[in-house]
Amino acid sequence: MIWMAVTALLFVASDALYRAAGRRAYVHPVLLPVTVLVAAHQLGALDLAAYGSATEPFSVMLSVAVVGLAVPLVRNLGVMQQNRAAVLAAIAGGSITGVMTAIVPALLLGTPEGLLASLATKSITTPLAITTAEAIGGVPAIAVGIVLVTGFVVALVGPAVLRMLGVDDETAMGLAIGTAGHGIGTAEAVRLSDAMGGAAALAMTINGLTTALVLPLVWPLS
Amino acid sequence: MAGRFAGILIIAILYFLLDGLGRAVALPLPTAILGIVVLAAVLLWLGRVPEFLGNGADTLIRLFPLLFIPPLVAVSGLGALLVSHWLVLLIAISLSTFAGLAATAFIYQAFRKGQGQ
Repeated sequence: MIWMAVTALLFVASDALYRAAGRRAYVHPVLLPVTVLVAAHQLGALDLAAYGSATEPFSVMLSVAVVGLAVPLVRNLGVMQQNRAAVLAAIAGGSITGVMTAIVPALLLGTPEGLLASLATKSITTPLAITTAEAIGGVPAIAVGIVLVTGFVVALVGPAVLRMLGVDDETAMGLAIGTAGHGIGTAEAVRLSDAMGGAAALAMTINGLTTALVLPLVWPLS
Repeated sequence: MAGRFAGILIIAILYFLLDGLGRAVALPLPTAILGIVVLAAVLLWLGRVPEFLGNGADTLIRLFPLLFIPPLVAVSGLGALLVSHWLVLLIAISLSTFAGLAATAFIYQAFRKGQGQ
């Protein structure tokens, strides 16, 4: 209970700071609490296993919150239905690019197979990544770690990277953020705009489901 | 305010019902993803998003970043692996992720331009 309260307090304080600082990535409301809690772990003040079980209710709430993503998805489905081919091609292209650009350098660097398989699921939502990584011989704990950090990077710098590349269409940004950054990216997209969030929720669902179905069929790629 | 909580409650009930059902038939699909599909199907069938449900979902979504903090903290338990394979992980998490982002956005925009919009 105490750790849930500490986490929530850190989040509320960071969120206020984030708004006051004009939504700068370096004061993102997830970055600051994670940094403080990891530092506490390194200093011996926080036991990871105890923290994990103390914050278990958050994990159930997270699953319930994911279901809520159906709302922005449905609100914005009209725009995406008009461009069905563009939406599906974008998600497929982005998903394949994300997997291949992680796997090929890893293969060239002689990465062990367990890690390789855990990299392949980096852009799909955590529960799907666990089952998919297991199916292709990956290590679930490693897959989850890679998935979370990938999503976090997308949430932190994804919108800025896309704007730097000249992408200004909200649907395009949402699809990219949802395809590459699953739930964490989608959460950030919803905070930025409803249209972006709806596109991200759709991309996250389609990419997650198709990757989970297709990857075990085509793995190993060689 | 009451509507907001009713919305959250309905989404939570749907989640737990689907979770129970998924376990009973050993469905190889995460309940949360199944939940998105079912809730979206119901809302499409209704033809609108009831206000209380919309407010409930918006509240849940605003809490998202908080709920991701514990699993991210747990990643620090993978310390040794991060050190021994830092280059592969750095490529996968940064360059490859940016490539995926860019590919998705560019393909969508190219298709839209191709359609003359």
